[in-house]
Amino acid sequence: MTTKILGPTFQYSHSIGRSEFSGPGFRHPVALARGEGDLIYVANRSYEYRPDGKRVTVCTVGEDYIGEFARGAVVAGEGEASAADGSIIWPTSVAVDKDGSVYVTDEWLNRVSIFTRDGEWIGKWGTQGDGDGEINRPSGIAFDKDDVLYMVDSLNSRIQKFTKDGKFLGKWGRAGSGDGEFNMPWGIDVDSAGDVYVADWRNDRIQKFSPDGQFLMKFGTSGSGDGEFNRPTGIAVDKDGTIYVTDWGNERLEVFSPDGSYISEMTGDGTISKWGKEKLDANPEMWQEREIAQGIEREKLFWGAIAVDVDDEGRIFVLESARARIQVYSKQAPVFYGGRL
Amino acid sequence: MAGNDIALMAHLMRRAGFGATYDELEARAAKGYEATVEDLIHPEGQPDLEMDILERYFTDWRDLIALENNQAYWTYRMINTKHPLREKIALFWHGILCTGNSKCEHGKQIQLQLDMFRRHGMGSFPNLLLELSRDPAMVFYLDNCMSHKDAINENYGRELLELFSMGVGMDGNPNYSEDDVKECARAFTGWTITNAIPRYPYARYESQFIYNSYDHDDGEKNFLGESGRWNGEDVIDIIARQPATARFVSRHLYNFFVADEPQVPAWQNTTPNDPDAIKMLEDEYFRSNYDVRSMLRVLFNSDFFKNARFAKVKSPAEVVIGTMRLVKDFTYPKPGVHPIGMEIRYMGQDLMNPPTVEGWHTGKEWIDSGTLVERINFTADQVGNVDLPGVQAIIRRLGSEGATMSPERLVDGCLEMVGAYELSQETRDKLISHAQKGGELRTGTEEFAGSVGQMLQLIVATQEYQFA
Amino acid sequence: MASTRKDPVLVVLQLSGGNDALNTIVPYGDPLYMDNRPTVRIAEDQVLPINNYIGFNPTLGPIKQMYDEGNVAIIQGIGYPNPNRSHFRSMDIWHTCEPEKVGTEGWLGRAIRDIDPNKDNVLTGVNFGRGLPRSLASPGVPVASVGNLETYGVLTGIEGGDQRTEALDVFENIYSPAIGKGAVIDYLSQTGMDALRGADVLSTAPEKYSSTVEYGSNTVAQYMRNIAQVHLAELGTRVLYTTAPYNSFDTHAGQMAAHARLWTDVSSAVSDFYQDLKEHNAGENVVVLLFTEFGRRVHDNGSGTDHGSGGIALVIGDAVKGGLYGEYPSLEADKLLEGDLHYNNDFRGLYATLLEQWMGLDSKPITGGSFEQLDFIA
Repeated sequence: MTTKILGPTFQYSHSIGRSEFSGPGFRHPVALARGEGDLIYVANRSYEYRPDGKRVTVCTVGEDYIGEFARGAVVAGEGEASAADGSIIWPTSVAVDKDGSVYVTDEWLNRVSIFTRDGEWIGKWGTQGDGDGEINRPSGIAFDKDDVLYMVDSLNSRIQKFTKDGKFLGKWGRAGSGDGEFNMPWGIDVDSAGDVYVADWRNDRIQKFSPDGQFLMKFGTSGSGDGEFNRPTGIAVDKDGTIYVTDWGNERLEVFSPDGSYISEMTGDGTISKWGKEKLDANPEMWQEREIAQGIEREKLFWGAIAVDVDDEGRIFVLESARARIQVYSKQAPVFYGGRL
Repeated sequence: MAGNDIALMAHLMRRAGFGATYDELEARAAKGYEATVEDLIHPEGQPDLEMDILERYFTDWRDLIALENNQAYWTYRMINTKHPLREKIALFWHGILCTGNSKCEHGKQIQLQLDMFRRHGMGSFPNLLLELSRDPAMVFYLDNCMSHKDAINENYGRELLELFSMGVGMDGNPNYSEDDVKECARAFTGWTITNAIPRYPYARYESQFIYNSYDHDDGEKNFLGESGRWNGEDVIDIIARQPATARFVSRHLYNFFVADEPQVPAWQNTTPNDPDAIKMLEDEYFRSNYDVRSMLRVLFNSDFFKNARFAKVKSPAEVVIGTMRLVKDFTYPKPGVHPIGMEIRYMGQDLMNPPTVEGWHTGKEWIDSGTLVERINFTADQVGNVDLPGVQAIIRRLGSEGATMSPERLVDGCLEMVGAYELSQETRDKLISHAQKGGELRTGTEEFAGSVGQMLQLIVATQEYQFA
Repeated sequence: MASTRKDPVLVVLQLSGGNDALNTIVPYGDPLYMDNRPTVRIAEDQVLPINNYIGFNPTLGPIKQMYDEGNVAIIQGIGYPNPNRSHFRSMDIWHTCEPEKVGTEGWLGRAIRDIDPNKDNVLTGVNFGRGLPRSLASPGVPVASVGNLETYGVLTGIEGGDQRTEALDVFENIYSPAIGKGAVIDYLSQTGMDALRGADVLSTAPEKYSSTVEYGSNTVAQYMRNIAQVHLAELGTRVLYTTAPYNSFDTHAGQMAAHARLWTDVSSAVSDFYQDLKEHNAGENVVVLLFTEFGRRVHDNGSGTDHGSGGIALVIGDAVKGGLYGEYPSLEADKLLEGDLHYNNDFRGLYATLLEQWMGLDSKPITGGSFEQLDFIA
């Protein structure tokens, strides 16, 4: 037997969510962010004929429902979406700054909306265009430890840096598939050293940059094997530098060590959430239907794994758009803590 | 380019697709009529929509759970497809081999059936019936999953014969007996589906077809005069050989692609409008070993097809999709697709949710005072919007003819641009006299653009424009 | 015009999505209500009591007032055999009176055909909203579907008054019946002219109208105002129909706030409508029906309620004998039907009452049989 230092392992913890257009639950959620304490913010895209389902849901890791804000643009007439302050049409991502304020990007309005931790609207910024500081279909956003906001400016094929109130600080990238080039990038995260990771969606790879945009490394190619991607969407880096990527087309979460080497994958272990149980208890025949359903184990699997976040307690949160659910995993380091043999 | 070629190509593209812009008509006409027919009936190998990009913006299209998500998706698909005949064939079979969301309540399952039509709709007809008999939405919609060897449910067995393959009768005679219905239903016992999970709390997954041999009635059956221990496949093979089936498929193809026929319930006792055309299609059905693609080739290349311009009232889907393709809106993902899809519903065709298993009544029955207002207003709003790329292209193209344009040319030019339409002399005169109020137009001006937009609005409001 | 002002008029307001009966007419006197509704419950001290068992949801205050005046019939426990919990299917059943097979013809479509068999008036039935509900659909029965009364008509998208007038002149010219253009073109021409005439007549309604009643700005209120305008214009319209925004009563989640908002809007709209007709002394020949496709689950789901059966319908008008009809379904577990309120009142009996006793029509061919009628028409 060779001595081999194994990477971390991952234990499924629990599921959060159920499909709802309002209240406890999500509807086609697309992004999530861990907030202060136990809070989780989830941006729901819903769909056009149910704008009421477009919102940010606030809940806890323990699945207590806190509230919701940024309601979907009210449909005034057929298809007439209002773009009033605080409303959302095509939300793409959510991030929380050091003060606990919540930032939501909208790729149709080309806008960042800002809310207090309690959901009160306090501001917005964003102008459509391709000049410095202008944006065209913003996707992921992430803050570094100094509250510098990094944004994936997807149709401009670049990353832009802003102050949190929208002042332009810098940019890098252009369309293409070479180093430092992008093809419809989506997710983004910043590690504890301040380096930036981008899910280069249609190039099926992850790219890593220094805070000023210098290319540092890349990993991944198109495919469904270990370490390969079919349209990576969300990315998160934990405090140890472990990298998590939602591999959207392959319906899995892939985990990489800080140097980009593949560690493992998860495909889903979902169980009945607290809100889900309430739903089923109110509709007892649904319990019966589930008992006779063939193939119900498929429900455990990720469906539309679209975003991921991590927290400092080693918990990983995988968001599924189609199942309206978060699956929570915890990371276990390969450390012997004593006790029995 | 001869105007005739364009007019013929416009006709082909309206029927074998959802219409085309003038530029596309020119390009296709340059390639030739028969070559275009071959392109249309052979979509395989040509690039499809980029679903990853669509699902990125329309997040709900991954699971497509509800009717409305699917209607938006299909609308977008019909507008943007590079395979117009493949979508048209899906629409064709959807109106005949019907399932409806009001019973199925699972939009994705019906969308999967449409995918099946996209894959097999131009192939062998018996194979299509076989796929249909195994399609979970259909097995559920017509209760075959409730049919057991000791308790037959005849619903699917009956509709397979009456509505999906032979029809009740032809030339005044019945095509099958009540006993045939029972035997048919017996042959399909055991053709069932998995039990589904509820839609809530975490959405559903699709059902699967199962053949349960323990629940299959394996006894001797006498079906359409042939005896044996028939299973469903055998019954389909027998059905495929019937002259009634050739007639039924031919009449449906004719009604959908060529000219409005009487409604299906009348077929037992009414002869086809064009018996020779139906005979040609029937012959091809047998000659080609029941191949729908071969029948379509004969149909589109026939004189009876080429001479049948404007012999059909457009369906709501044809109205809406044709308009969107003409004005070139929604060529990339953006909000607003769902309301466009809803227009089709307002005009009386709630796609994927037909009123009954008999589908929609077609032809003039699409039109009543409410739906006529819906179609005229929708179409006029679109073509009158001079900011839309397709309308701008029309304005540019007409404007390039010279520095000025006469009222007559404005009318005729606009008619060409919307697909070589023809009006009655009376109506054309009325439009010209309306245009004359503006006098000779100077092209390249804002007024010119406005005049073109308005003339397009009046053209789409005519009776003639309701025809394809 | 075939009808006169005093002909009975039926107004239908469809509460689409499945209104929660338990939180509309609340069985606050039943401890089982509290047990089953830990979250989605109207507090006892909020209920506007009818008796010591049931009472109105507080947001139905304006309707409670009409009830106290004796003009509201509450039809309890309404439904049909083998309840279906699909919105589409259940609404179809209510629309077509066909619980067993799929029907295509609407009960009001048939009623309109009986009222106006020769199609003398294209406005005998008018729907407010886009697309025609199946209840009004019947082959050959013209029913106008009005998305916006102020702008209803042909070629409404043409900007500029003069240009639109000119365009309509051309349209009328083109559609004027010509001979020998072919059967289908002739049919189109006739249909186009019908649409144009209907729109012309309807457009007079808002012009003629004046009232001190101020309706809310929500969709239901605006459509109820439109219904008042058309009724007051005396166009011979006998059936007027509208639908609360599509599926809005489908309160799976966040029900307490949503349901309160919906009923605040609906009850004010209905009350304003009633006041409006009173002000014009035109209310005595109008009866309003409020119905929904099903009730909701007895047990809440922690935030809302899911699809159930056994609902509530309301019939409102001067001609209505107010009070309770049918029985409030029991909440006892062994009396429930698959966890839902057990209907005791077939909706076709409600329809038959309205058709026979109010509209003066033979209900049997319309509802497809004989159903026990109620006696809420004075």
